[in-house]
Amino acid sequence: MRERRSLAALLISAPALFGLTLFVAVPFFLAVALGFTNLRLGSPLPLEWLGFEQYRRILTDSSFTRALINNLLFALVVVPLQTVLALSLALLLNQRLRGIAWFRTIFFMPVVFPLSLVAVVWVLIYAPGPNGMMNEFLQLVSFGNWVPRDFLRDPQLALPAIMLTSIWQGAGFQMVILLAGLQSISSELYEAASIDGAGRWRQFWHVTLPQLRNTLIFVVLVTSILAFRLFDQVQIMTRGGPHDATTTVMYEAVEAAFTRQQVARGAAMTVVLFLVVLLISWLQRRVASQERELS
Amino acid sequence: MASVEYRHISKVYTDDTRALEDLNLQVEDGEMMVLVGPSGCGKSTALRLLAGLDPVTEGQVLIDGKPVNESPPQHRDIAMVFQNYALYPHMTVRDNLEFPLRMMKLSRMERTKQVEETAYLLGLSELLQRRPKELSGGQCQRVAMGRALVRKPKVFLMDEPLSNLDAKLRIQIRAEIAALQKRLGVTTLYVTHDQVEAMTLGDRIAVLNGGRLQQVGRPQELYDKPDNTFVASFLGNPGMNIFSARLNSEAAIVDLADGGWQIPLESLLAQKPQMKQYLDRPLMAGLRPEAFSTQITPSAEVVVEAVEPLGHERLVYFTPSDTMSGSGQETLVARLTGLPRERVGESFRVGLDPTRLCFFNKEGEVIA
Ligand SMILES: Nc1ncnc2c1ncn2[C@@H]1O[C@H](COP(=O)(O)OP(=O)(O)OP(=O)(O)O)[C@@H](O)[C@H]1O
Ligand SMILES: [Mg+2]
Repeated sequence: MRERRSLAALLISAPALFGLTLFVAVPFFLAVALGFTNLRLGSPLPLEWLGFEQYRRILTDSSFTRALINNLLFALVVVPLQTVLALSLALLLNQRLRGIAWFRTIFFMPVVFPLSLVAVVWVLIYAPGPNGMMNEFLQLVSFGNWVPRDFLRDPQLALPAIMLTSIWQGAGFQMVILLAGLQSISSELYEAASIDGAGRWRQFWHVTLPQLRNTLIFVVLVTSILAFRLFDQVQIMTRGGPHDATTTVMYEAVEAAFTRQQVARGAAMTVVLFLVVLLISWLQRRVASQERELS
Repeated sequence: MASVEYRHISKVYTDDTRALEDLNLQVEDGEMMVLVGPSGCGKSTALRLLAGLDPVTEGQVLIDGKPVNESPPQHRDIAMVFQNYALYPHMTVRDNLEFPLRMMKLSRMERTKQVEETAYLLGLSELLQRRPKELSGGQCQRVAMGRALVRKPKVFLMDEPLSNLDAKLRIQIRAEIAALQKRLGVTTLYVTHDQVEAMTLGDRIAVLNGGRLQQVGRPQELYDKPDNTFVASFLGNPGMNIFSARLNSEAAIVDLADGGWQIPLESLLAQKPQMKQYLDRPLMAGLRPEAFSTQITPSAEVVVEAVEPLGHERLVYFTPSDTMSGSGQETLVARLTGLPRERVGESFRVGLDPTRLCFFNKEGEVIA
């Protein structure tokens, strides 16, 4: 009986397992294996086993280390800002107002657009010269004191520009998840807190935040992982420039593997990326479970 | 300490539910006022309006004679025990108890002292490190009580705080609540739909039905002299028997339960002269189950419908057998002492105490 049931289970999951093996497991192990070689498409040199030499090379490559730093910077800025923004939006949109569904839809809209489209639109927004939308806007709010800049070609401004685009695009997704979290908090807790003497702010601090903890951890985790996979915006808006100011690990890997045909190098880079993401997930899980024991 | 007053309060919810209609009620300083009534009669609504959790539609809520309609819950200095506890799930019992004190910005030492006192009072000292989900229903209940008790508020509101407990725990905590309230002397509004709880706890009871106040008074007063048939049958377990009555001027008798019992008209009028104007008109009479007895007159032959032995006493359900044919008589109930002797379907003689009769007009309002 039990054997027949496990056989049925195996049969039912077979297509999914097959897909997983073919499209996830095989490429993954292939990438790990290739990372130890010198494979380069169209190269006349024979295939050689390099061991960790490939990793030594990329980790001493200034473009790649810059990419790692950029990813880190991007995560450090975008994750907190985007989470706070999404939380504020969710709090605002959690009111019972007429037409609130419309507002929720509007704020969710950027998520629905493809990233590439969003990036193209933002390239237009960041257009250089006084007629660029962002330049014009900054001029307006600074009462004409802003000197027009070319955001995407300015080593100081290019990365922040991409960060802004990403926050604009990603906040809606977080907002929806946080909104769902907010709505699952029993209104009785707020009533109890208000009777116990807590005003709006302290209700937020002592009821909303602790009740939203798990949702927040999830959202931060997902956003951090996405931050390390940053690629589309860079590819479309800056192509990693100027002078590697906006390059990312993903961008470097794609460049290596597909533009320069250094498949092994690209593979090694993705393995590094995988390890970084693994480390983040592990760290956040640890923090989360620790708090759960504590609280 | 404070007095509380509802002045011409009406509450209409956004979906046009009229939860309260022109409620007028005063609760004295230090008094325990119990609100009773069937489900949906507006008891919780009354508490929520006083706490400031919902806005009033019409009228004024006063605490210490001052209108508080506009002030938010956190400024009213009221403590409330919710129908289903509403403990903070992410806090330990200690933190739950401490929360109102933290909101008052008391010093840590002061807080610890008061939390420990309250915990001791409610037998929670062992449970301070637990979280609500690690507690039994009765323990949650006591934490909810404790959270209300730690800070001596002006008014306590308790919304069916014992509804989720087993019978034994309910009686035990009921006694604890009564003793505490007396000792602290905090004005309390206590909601229940359990009339035994109402009778045992309340300095006074307010009976609500369909959003309207039916009667307010001391428990015994409501029990003996109900203002209307609703209060008569709602209080008591089982409630007051209501049956037809007619003052027959021709035969000079009072006909009870369509000829079931008869008493001389003269003696009734001597006792209740205001009944004169109701001669020969259809009325209703009410009698508590314990005012029936097999030892007294006038008595009548009745048919037993059911018997419920309760150990020290028994409830006998019966219909008067001498009733005129065709009149749809309701089943009456008598509370008799001793072991059951009656058998279902057989008849026996039962008498009533005419001095304990209440009379109501056709609309169900009390006459005498
Ligand atoms: N938020 C609300 N919106 C609309 N109608 C409501 C709301 N809250 C209560 N009501 C209605 O108001 C009436 C009174 O409700 P309330 O909760 O005060 O009853 P209750 O006496 O406490 O009943 P119970 O003994 O079942 O707790 C009911 O008819 C109920 O359906
Ligand atoms: Mg209720």
